[in-house]
Amino acid sequence: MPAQSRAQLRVVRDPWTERNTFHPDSRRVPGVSLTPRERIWIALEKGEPDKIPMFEFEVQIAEKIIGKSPVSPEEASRLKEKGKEKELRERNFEYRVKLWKKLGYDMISVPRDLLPLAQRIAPDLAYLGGCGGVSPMPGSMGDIQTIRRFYFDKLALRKQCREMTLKAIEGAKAEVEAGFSIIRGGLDDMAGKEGPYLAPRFYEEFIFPNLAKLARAIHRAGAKLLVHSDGDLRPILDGLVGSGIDALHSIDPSSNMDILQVKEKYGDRICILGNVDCAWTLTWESVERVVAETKASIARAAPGGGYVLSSSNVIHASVPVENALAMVETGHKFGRYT
Amino acid sequence: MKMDEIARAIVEFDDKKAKALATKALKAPNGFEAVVESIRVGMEEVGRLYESKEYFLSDLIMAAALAQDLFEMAKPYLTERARPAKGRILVGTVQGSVHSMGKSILISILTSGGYEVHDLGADVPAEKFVEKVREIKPQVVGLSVGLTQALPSVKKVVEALKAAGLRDQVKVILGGNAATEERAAQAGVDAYGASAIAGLRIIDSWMK
Repeated sequence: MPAQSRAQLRVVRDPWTERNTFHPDSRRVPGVSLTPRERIWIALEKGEPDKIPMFEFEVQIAEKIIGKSPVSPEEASRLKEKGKEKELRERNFEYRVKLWKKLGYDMISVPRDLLPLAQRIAPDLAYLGGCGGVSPMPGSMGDIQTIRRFYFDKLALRKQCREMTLKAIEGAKAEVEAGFSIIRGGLDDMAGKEGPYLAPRFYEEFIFPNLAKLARAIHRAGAKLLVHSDGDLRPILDGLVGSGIDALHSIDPSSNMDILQVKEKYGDRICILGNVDCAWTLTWESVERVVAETKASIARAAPGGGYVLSSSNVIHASVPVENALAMVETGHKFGRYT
Repeated sequence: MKMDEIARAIVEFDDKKAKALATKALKAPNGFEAVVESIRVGMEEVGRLYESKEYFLSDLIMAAALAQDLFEMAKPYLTERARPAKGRILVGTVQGSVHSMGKSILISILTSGGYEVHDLGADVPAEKFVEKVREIKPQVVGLSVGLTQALPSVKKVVEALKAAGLRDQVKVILGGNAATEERAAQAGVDAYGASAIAGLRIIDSWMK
């Protein structure tokens, strides 16, 4: 990027890199190309970067895209036996970074101990850290015991939520200190196709006040909070967004989440990530349908900024490689802000 | 629909009260019938509240779990005069899908709705369904599918039932996170249950 162009931009402080980065107005500077990290940060600021950033939590078909992992299953076993787990994780992470670069994703999940490696081999990517949850949450496996606690064990549950929140705040602070500026956490996977696992009154009573504390602590540290959940979140979206989260992944269309409605109602308060249906379209439909759905997500969520293109969960093992690539190519081709 | 105290306690998730009242009621003559009727009435109301979006998934799960507990308490009081089960239902999550939350709710709802329910568990191969249908001769087979990747397994069960000459003897209903009306039709099942309550309504209509 020419130094002259950069000088025209309004800058904001990136607390993670201790460097200045661009204010969302940077989109208005013609010919400016941003780094993936800058692109993600601007989207998190609800702005329009040069192009729509792309992200996945996981891509489970890496071998079909960039060939076999250099670490064979046999070698992985050998490394584990020798107690070289860290080396194994580092080599797997290097393979993952190679895939991320090939696909042109802008953000990558990084375990804290691998952050120095990430900074060395992928200095321009945005890094996603993590912290714990603020409340016990029933899993998707009929966790009746956890659900029961919200009805019959409120006193102990309230205490547990307080303790979990303090721990999550400590965890988030440690992540920021290590160098992360985007934290995933607070709560995760809280809804299914039929709606939130818990009745909304429990989110209001136990969860959102604690999530708000976590969000405030993360903001004070100069970072941003990203929450992931597929499923139908509509009955609790007001409270979730009102807790002060910065970004919401995955706006799951297979659970009646309409990205246009989410964008219209909450687009000025949160950055939206996701929406290309990995449960159906990416798994079962043609390349043409994948391209059409990707373009539709872009058309609905990208105008005005604050959007990161992503699948509605992960690129799982049953997604055909041509569909995964079609989504990525469509993102690169049609994801430019003018 | 008249709600007695047990039914009301189910609707209000009052575990202790419902169990205390049921213990007392079961000692009376025809106690089993009375308690089962209260469970039915209570769950009917919970279903109504769920469908009208006043109650949510966890409310349904809690009420269904309580109903199931009450049903277990009532079982030893089952008399010969007691009303027989409305029908026999075999349920299972198809192969490739390990999610069983929806199925657990369905089982509670069906049991409290007066059905005899046999659960095959999760990740069940097609041949297991066939084997069990032969053994217990259910009127209905309920299939649950949590992941779209497992959708072909639904068709496999339907095909296996056909190949075994059993398809005409059972109604098949599909539910679960990955199921939709269209996918149910494509797989060749008889109905799609959008929720456990919707499933109960459909099965009730078949049993009439």
